[in-house]
Amino acid sequence: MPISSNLQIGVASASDLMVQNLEVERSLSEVVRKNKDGGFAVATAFDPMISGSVTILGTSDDDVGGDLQTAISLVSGGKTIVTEKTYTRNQDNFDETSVSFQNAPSAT
Amino acid sequence: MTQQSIYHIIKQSIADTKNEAASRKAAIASADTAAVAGAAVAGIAIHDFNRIIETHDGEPRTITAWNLDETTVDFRPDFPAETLTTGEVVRRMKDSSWQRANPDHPISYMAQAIEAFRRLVRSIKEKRPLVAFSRGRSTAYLVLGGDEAKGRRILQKANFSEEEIQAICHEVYGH
Repeated sequence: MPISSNLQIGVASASDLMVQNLEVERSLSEVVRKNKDGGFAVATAFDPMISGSVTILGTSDDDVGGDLQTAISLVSGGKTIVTEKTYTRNQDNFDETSVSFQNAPSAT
Repeated sequence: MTQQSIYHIIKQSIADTKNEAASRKAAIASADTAAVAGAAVAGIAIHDFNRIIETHDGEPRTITAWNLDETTVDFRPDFPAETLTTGEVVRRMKDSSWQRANPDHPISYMAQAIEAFRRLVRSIKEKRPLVAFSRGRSTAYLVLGGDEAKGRRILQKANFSEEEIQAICHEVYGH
């Protein structure tokens, strides 16, 4: 794979914001395998998964409410899938972005 | 509006960063910064970086958070074995034209990784950190030395008292 001669590093300027109502739920899945004699073989525990939701508030004048990339990195870590995002422009100058996400903290 | 996005967030908590200078220095020295530079050279996009200063159990600490694209990259080594003099290694390390002509050579990767690291260090120095303040189920992230009017509005929205807002503004905006 050729390396880029025009290396782009996208780091935007910082913005004030607030996160509210962070809800997370951890789950651990296990698979119990049966062996050839019908008994139980090795049970494998997978990496934990986290499901969560959060509300991000920013000020309307600089559209911070839509700054999902910053906000999601504040509340999550590892491999994170944003499954739903709702953006609401409010009258009180605080725009709201409601986000649902799934997260695998130790995924590689 | 519904959409699905996938991010790979690399986070580190660094204890005992007593002031902004110590926080910045720790972020630059973090192994994550070097790793992200390598990822950038491999072709992985960097969406964002944030440095957050917060107090946890009365102790100051710094959180670094790199937000990368979740993707796959291919490595297909394609270069002949060769023996180089010290002078030739140094020449190639400094010669961007040679590197562009030989993009899959290890020397090109090394040179690009060093350049990427330099740029990341510059980003860390130039991007102001966020200072975190929690109240109940809300956490305000304010840009250090940023816009005080905006910061006050966010703190009021998070139900901080006027006295608390004064103290926070003194810490974040220096007056």
